[in-house]
Order: sequence, then structure tokens, then C-alpha cells
Amino acid sequence: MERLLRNKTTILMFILPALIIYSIVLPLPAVSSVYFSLVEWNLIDTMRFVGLDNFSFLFLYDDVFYAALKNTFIYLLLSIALQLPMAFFLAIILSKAIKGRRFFRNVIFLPVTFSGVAVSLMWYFIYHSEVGLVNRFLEAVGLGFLKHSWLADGSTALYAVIICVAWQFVGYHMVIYMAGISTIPADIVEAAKMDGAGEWHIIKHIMFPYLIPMLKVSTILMTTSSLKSFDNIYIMTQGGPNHATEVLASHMYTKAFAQMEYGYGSALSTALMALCISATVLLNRLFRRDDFDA
Amino acid sequence: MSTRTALVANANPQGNRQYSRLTALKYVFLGVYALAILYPLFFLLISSLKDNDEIFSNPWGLPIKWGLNVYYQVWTQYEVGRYFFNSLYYSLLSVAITIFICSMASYAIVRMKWKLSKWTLGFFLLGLMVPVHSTLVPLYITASKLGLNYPRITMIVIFVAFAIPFSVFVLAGFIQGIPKEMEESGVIDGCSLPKAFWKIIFPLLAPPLATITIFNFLGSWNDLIFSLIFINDEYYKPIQLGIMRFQGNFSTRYSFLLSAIVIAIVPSVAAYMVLQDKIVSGITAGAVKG
Repeated sequence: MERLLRNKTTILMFILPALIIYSIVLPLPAVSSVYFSLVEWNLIDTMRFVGLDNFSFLFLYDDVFYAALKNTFIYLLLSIALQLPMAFFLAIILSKAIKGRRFFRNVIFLPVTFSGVAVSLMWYFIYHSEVGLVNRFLEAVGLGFLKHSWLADGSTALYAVIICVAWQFVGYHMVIYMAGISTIPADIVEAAKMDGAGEWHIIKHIMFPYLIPMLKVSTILMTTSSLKSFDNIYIMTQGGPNHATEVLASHMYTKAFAQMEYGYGSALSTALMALCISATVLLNRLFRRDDFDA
Repeated sequence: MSTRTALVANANPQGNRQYSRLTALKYVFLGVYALAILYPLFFLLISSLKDNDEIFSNPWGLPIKWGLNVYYQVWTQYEVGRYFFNSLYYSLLSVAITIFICSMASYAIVRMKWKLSKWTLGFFLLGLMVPVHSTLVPLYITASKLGLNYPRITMIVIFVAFAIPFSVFVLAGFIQGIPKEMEESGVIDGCSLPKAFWKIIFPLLAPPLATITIFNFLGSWNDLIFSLIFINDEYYKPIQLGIMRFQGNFSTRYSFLLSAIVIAIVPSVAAYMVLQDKIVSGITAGAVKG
């Protein structure tokens, strides 16, 4: 048996298909995109090595990049502010063996399984200035004067997209927290109740500390997915009006694939990758301080 | 001591009444939240069955004449049927390939004895952190050198590759828990190791493979960015890319777009209904260990 498990041919036969496909599609391009960020190339003319020129243009002259950076951070912070407390609150309510627990969990999770395209197109309809649900509702309750073309106005478009994303993903984070709550030993909660601890007391002193690792994971997920967000913006606003909803990924897409500046697009994607990695490292540090090592 | 008495005092009958009022409040909150999820979906569904006049004159009620033929028209004349089957083809085939190559690779990593096995696992898991965007330009350059002539193969290879890190992560964890005697008994009966793997180990992998199937199916079915970049031929468009055509001429007939959205989310809902516990356990596994 030992001999069979050391057989080189079998090992290669088992590992190579996955290893080859994975390597040529993920790590290799990710590394070579750092190289492409140092060139100027439109795929037709000869490739020109320009050193750090792409990055100096990016940081010194690209106003759209700064607009995109600002919008991405608004998107990131508001997404966390909307989704985290709501998901936490729902998870706590649903962690008890209350009637209909499964039903509510399933309904709230349902939109997570939808595509970004379908959800965005649906909300495009919901925000529509004439036939949309939002304006229709405002009119029906007598607040017709608040009617608005939510996605066409630069001052509301980004927030409209953020709400749509929260609608879709609160359920995802709720499920993570529910999983965390289910790992809390029942006797601890029982003991606290015996001592007469109220509900709020149990949430604050027992559930919250136990959930810190889950809060870490979900915060990291919300952060990286917000930094990378593309689908909703691309469909609902295309980054407009006048870059009011431009985010890093949409700017990168436009540069690389609409304007065919592949080198510059790579510089943008490299910046995006650097942001994702540093955000992950930073959040890991931040949470380690008061981690309970559960 | 005094805090303790205060807490005990909380448990009196009056506290109980407060408790049930709290429960009622929770249900109200849950109900409102569930309505905020379900009502837009319901509104989408009923509006998809109305013509433009009725969308204006009767926005809230059920459709007066049920215009089911818009679905037929969108499916055939507007080619949503073909988009649908393109997507099904990409998703199912990439899931099947993922299952085969990832269960073999995970077995080799966890069970077989070679020097770089730990390192290889780490290399695969690194892929969980690579943002999609930083692979796009190099992949596009490679694909255009190869001529972009094989969009189907391109899509499937990409979907498989991006499914590998998560799948290996889930499978390797599961294989660790299988007792070693399982395949030993097979080998003693005269099987070769690959045969023992397929006959004895592979069938045991059903639970993690179900998780992998649902996650990767949804991942490929819901993809936008890859098809946006790698498919420019109308004929090969998957559903998500295909239904975007209705956004442009939205106001000519609202129900075209709306019914196309409904068609695009039906498989997601179906997959979720069948495998909901697998989805929850997949997220949980990722969150607890990750």
C-alpha cells in the first residue's frame, strides 16, 4: 500500500489535470498582469515597455481613478454599515428555535443565489422613473413630490446601487452568523439564564465574543467583494452619470476592454489587487487583537 | 451581589410579559423584512405578464389578461432559449470536469506520499485570494492569440479553473476524515490504486461533491465578466449576457425584460430549493475554517 501511494506516475496522473488548468488560468495571469502594467500595448502595434509610467499617470493625472477610488470606498463603508448590523440582528432573532425559522432564513437568503445581472436589471426596473416600484409607491402613499430618477441623478445613483446590493447579500452574512451562533455551547447560555441574565446581556457577553471570528470573515468578504464590485454598476449605471458611480473595477474594464489600453488597464487591476491584499491583511490584524481563539 | 439580585428580579412574571411582547416585535420585524425580499419578486413576476398599457393602468393588481405568450416570444423569437441552453452547457460541463479533476487532485494531496503535497495545497488555496480582475487582461491576450475561435472551450476552461481552489479546499478537508482502511481493503482485494480510488473513495465523496456542484453551478450560471470579455458572437452568449439586450429597448415592451429576468433566475431558485442545506453548509465551512 505504502509503495502504491508513492507511485510517481499515479501521483502525476491525479494531480496534473487540476494543477495545469489552475496554473495557466489563475496564478500565471495574475503574475503576468503585474508585468503588463509596465507596458503600453493595444494588441495591434508593437508592445512598448514604459516602466512605471502607467502608475505615475494613474496617481498624478487620472481624475477618474480618484473619483472611482472615492466611490469604491463609499460603496465599501456603506455596504458594511448596512449589511453587517442587519445580518447580525436577523441572525440573533433566527438563532432561537422560533416558529418559521427555516422559512425566514430561506427567504432572506434567496436573493444570494441570483445573478448580479438579474438583480441589477430587476432594480433597474424598480428604480425606473415612470413604472418603477419606488416611485409608484411614493405616489401611492401621497409622497409623489419625492419622485426621482434615482439612477440617472448623480447624487443618488451610487446609494441606489448600494441598497440593491445590500438587498441581495444580507442573507449571506446572516447565514455565516447563524452558523457561528450554533457553535455556542447550549449550557453556557443555560447557565447565564439560570443566573438571571436578560436577553441583551446574553447577546452582549456570550454571543458577541463567540461571533468575533465570523465577524472577521464576513467583514473581509464584504470588503474584498466591494473593492471588486462590477456587475451591479456596469448594468445599472455604466459608471455614470459623468463618473458619479465609477468604481475601480468599472474604470479598469473601460480602460482595458473598451479603450483597449491593456497596459494601463493592468496597472489599474494591479492597484486593485494590492488594495484587496492590504485590506485583508489589515482586517486580520485588526481582529486579532481581541480574538478569542475559538 | 447587588447586580445579581437585579438580574434575578428580571426573571419575574412581569419580565415574562415583556418577553412575549419582544417575540411579537421580532415577528413583525421578520415579516416586514421578508416582505421587502418577496414583494419586489412578486411585483416583477406579475408585471412580466402585463402589456405596457396595463403596467400603467393597473400597476398593483394581478394581470387582467394573462399574457403568457410573452414568455414564448422571448424564449423563441428573442433567442432566450438558446442563451439558456448555452449557459446550461457551460455550467454543467464545467461542473462535471471540476468534480473529476478536483477529487483526484485532492486525493493525491491528502493521501499520497510526495514531498510537495502540502505546498501544492497552499498553492491551490492561494487562488481564493486572487481577484478575478487581475487575470482578465493576460487571459484576454492569450485567448486572442489563440484566435478567440473556441468560445465554448474558453468559457469552460475558465469556469473550471476558478472552481478549483474552493473545490479542493472542501474536498481535501473531507478526505482527511475518511479512514485509511477503506482503500487498503480495495487494494488487498487486487485493485490498482486508481481503481480503488474510483470504486471505493469517490462514492464516499457525495456530500462534498454536492456542495461543490451547487456552488460552482451558480458561479458559472451567474457569471457576467468572463462572458462579457470572451464572447462577442451572439450565437455563444450565455443567459446573463443575453438578457441584457432587453435593457436597451426597455420601454418598447417592459414585459420582455421582466420575463427574461424571471427565466434567468428560475434555475438558481430551483437549485437552491433542491440543495439549500448544501449551500448553507458550504458557506459555513468556508466561514469557520477560512
